[in-house]
Amino acid sequence: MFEVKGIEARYGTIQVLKGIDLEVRKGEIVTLIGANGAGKTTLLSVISGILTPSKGEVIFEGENIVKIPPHKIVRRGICLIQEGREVLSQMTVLENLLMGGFSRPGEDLNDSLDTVFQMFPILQERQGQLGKTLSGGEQQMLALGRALMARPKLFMMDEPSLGLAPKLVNEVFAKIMELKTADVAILLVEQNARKAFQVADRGYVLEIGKIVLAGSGEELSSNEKVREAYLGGKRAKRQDLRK
Amino acid sequence: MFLQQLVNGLTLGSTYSLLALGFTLVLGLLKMLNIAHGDVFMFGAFLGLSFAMLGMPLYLALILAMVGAGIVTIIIERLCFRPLRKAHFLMPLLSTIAFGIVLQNVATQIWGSEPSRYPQTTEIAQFQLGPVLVSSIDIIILATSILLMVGIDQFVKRTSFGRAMRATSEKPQTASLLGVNINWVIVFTFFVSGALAGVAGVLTALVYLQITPFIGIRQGLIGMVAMVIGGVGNLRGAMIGGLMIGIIEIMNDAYFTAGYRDIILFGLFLAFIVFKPEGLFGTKEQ
Repeated sequence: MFEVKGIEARYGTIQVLKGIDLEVRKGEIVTLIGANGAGKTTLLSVISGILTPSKGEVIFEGENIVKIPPHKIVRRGICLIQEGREVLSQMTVLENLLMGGFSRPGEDLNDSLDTVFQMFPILQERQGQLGKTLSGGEQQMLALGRALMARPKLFMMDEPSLGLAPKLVNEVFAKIMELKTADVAILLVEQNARKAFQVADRGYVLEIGKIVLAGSGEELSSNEKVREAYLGGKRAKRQDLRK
Repeated sequence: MFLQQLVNGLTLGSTYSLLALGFTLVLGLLKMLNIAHGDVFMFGAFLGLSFAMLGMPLYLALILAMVGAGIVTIIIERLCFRPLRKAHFLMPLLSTIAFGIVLQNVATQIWGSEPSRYPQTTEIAQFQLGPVLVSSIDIIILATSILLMVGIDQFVKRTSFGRAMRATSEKPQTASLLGVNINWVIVFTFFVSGALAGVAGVLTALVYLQITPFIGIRQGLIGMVAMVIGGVGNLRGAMIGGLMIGIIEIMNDAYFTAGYRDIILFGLFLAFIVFKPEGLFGTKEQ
């Protein structure tokens, strides 16, 4: 249903992606792990239409969507939850959720709102509050709920656990498991590989612009190299510390 | 006497509010400053004049002038902003100054540099309300302005597209990932901004009954003063700022000397920029 074929992308003169192949099928959670600077976010930018790749194809439901602008890609059913959640801080929780449904013009959003409120009761409680008044965990819930409003066929999540306390990380991952249904595919980008492998059916390891390993969640988490690849050697480690 | 001046001030001020609203829509939502805004106001006034000369009723001339001024502003976005989005932030400022001058000269070529008389578009009726004399023109100006201001305020606050405008203003990339066509939001916002300037132009011309291609400069600056006093990016602030300036201007002329008018207004402008840049209703972060 969704396939990335030979994607290459660059920022200026720096080649960030050096030929990525990846596939996500319906009903699957696929995780993509890798150190800082490996190109995970860049790949998501390419898929969501923010960045045009220099080479390669992104096939979604049988069509190459590489040159389609972001606002049209959402309408086709691919939704990206950006790193850092990107909640609209000057808008209320309800308005944030309604913006999530913006890609479905003319449709009744009340059903979706009910679904979101059922899944995230805290959002119903806080629906009149401005986005900026929410805590980090609540903002992540709002970002998930907002994405849900678009009724996507493919969810992409960029580091949903980033900056959250361990207890909240567990909560977020529990919600991600809840999102998983037979019709939905999830591409989960994470640095927290251990957590990611717990929920993922399959995974890819990305290292400086290339996929170096692929396999089922179990295979990868028992692989000796994975820990090494995930930490990415000394250099990446230092970067991690800086962050 | 005082009440009468208050009504006059509100009438004048409401045209300033429309200008300030257009300024603040583009600056507050899109972080773009359109210096040619005052000249769009002037151009709208002339368009209204031409349509009225053709024998159109006032409301039709007003609507067509709005559309015309809106289209001019879309051209400004296309020529002065879009190609320069990645340029230094001062570049659009310079390109819109240039566009404003072009617009003044185009108007001079079409309508001449001498003051043009505005035709009598409606029967002017006078109503005596207690001590206050209100003309039908005052009522038209106030009603049109209030209608437009409330309409836009509610549009931005309550409609889906209004939310998209606010989302674009805060996080353009996130907005596009949520399905918002950013370019369309920008074009639409520019159009509304220009249409408001056009209406303000026609309404102001109805009061003064004569216009020149050079009226845009002061009006544009006054619109900016109103926007800054109200707080940049704050729609309601811009409306109140405009009304305040109208009242201050009229009161100054009535009780003080007209010669001091711009010293007071622009002195106030300077004071706000230096001591209270966030304006009366803006937030500190701006």
